Amino acid sequence: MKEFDYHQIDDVIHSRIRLAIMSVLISIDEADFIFLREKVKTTDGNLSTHLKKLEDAGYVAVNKSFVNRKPISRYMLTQKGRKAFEIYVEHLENLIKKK
Amino acid sequence: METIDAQQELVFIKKIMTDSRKSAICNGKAFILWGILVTIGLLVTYFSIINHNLSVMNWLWPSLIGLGWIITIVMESKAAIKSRTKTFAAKILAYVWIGSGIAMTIIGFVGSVSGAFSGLYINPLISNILAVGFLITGVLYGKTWVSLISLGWWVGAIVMFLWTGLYTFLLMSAMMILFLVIPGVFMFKQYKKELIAE
Repeated sequence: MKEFDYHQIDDVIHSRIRLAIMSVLISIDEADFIFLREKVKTTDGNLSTHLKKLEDAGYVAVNKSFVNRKPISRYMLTQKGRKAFEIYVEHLENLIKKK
Repeated sequence: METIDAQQELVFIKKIMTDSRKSAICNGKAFILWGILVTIGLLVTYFSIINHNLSVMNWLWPSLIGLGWIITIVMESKAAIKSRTKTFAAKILAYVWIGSGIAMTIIGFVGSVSGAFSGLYINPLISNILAVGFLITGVLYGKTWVSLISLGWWVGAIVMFLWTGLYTFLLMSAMMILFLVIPGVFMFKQYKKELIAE
């Protein structure tokens, strides 16, 4: 089996955790930090770091609010993030077709 | 950077997407609430007609429907704030039921007050709207048994259109319990189970 040619693909998405975050957010409109942590199965610190990278790339937007005086961060994909994810999946499919 | 096989990567994406979509979009609470309120209304209406005491009708339905809307708005607003996710399917579902609720309220009040149709036709008309609601809910919820409930509502509507009479209040009450309250309880249990699983 051929391996990924990562020169052709998006480095921001090409990480297990960031890819998992993007996959969760593409299937639902909005998710809070705890939901993402449970779906991605990682630690708070790790998730924060990867979410920050996605935010810096403009792929993910965050909406911070308070519910019962507790801070809640809700994350969603931006248009740029959605497009990047689509291109990423397209690359994967093309790789499979070439095999 | 780790290199991952493309095929495995796609499988990974698909699995995460499927898992995320599983988050419950309907907790069934509104079905239980409306089912109980309307059943009370139908039974009181039936017995007040039998006992020739129609004065109760002046306050019964406005109180029940008003109470239903107030509780629903409070309940759903709280749920929306507490909800950990927002999905397109949940949004569509909410609008389907808000629209259906408004349509049923108009049929129940404006229709009967204006005299556009006999009060006996309110039940089959509402039954038709509930059938459409359940059909869409089943598809969005991903449960065939929920969609199949619409058949019960449609069959009931046909029966009540063809054979009008006071008995339709009792039939509609039974349908409310069978096709609204009981499915609501099942959905609520499912919702609780999924919350624990998360």
